[in-house]
Amino acid sequence: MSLSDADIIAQIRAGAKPRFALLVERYQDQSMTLAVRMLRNREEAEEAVQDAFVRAYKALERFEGTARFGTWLYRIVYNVCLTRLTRRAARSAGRVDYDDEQGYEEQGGAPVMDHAEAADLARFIRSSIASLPVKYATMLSLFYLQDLSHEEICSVTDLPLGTVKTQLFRARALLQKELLKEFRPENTTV
Amino acid sequence: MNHLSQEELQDHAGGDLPDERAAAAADLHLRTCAECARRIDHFRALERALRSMPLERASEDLSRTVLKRLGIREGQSWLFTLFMNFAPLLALLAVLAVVHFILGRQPAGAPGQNSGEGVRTLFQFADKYSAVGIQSVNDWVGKYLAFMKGRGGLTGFLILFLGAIALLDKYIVMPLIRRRL
Repeated sequence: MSLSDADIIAQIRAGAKPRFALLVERYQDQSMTLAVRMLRNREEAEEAVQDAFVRAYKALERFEGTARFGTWLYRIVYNVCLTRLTRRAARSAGRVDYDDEQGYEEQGGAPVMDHAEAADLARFIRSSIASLPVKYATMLSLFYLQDLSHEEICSVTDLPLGTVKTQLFRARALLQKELLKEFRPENTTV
Repeated sequence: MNHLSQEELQDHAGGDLPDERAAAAADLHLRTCAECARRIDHFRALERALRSMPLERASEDLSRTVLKRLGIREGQSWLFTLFMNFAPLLALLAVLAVVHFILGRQPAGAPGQNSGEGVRTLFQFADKYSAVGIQSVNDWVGKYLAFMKGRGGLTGFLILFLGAIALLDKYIVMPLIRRRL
């Protein structure tokens, strides 16, 4: 029987520090997915995830257990990535990637794909998400991949519920638009 | 006919309509409106695709790297664990061996030296009472643990004794100390 997050945290607090590896292994892929969606660079995402786990360990005493450990951890991952995005924006003449309101079309629309790639819906959606503004890609990741509720996303991002719902709606609408463009009946790639 | 809004379609596809009445009204509309039924199918397909998206894989040694950055030692080898459990006992035995070696080096006859005389008296005192102790332990072992008599028996006894101490240390003493910490 696998230990619950609370059991592992209790063991770590009791002195079994190496048990933290269990939490890392349990959440590393989910955290990595969120970081990749936000930073769009695997190497940087890997560093951000490492930083987030180190911060989480150091702050573990302050984890009260009122929220799920995952939600609490994703908030740290989110903040670490946001800090990196802000630094990146400062380096590239003030362009803030996360809040970039430029839409999908302004960035050149759907990525160019060959026919074999277009036939793969999952791959298409993945590449489409990579072209969405970061905040929309982040929302989709938190909702569908980290499996958080709207309220949990609010606590991770510090955004109001209405904003979270609106961003999710816009993200899905943009994806849907691209899907229809790519997979509509008259399109020969389907 | 009023079509369902894009928001209603999305919410319905994701099972996220605000209440049962809204869901029932949307269902009714979808049964009679081919356009909305077609559009909601697209959202359902998108919903399914989003939920089945694979996760990004972190590197295999991520947990090791994180523990290293935190200065946490990973699981130790059984040899190291054994050593750590026996460490206090080994230290005590080492001190006893050193004391015994120093006392044993005192010359048998050196009456002129006060310090040497004192140590020799202490040694004789310790020797006398340890001999009594050893004898009584020997008697007790002979009476109740006869199987431990002889060299093989003593080895077995030592292994059992040290093993018991190691287990006591690992599963009772150390967990109690950690809980207090």
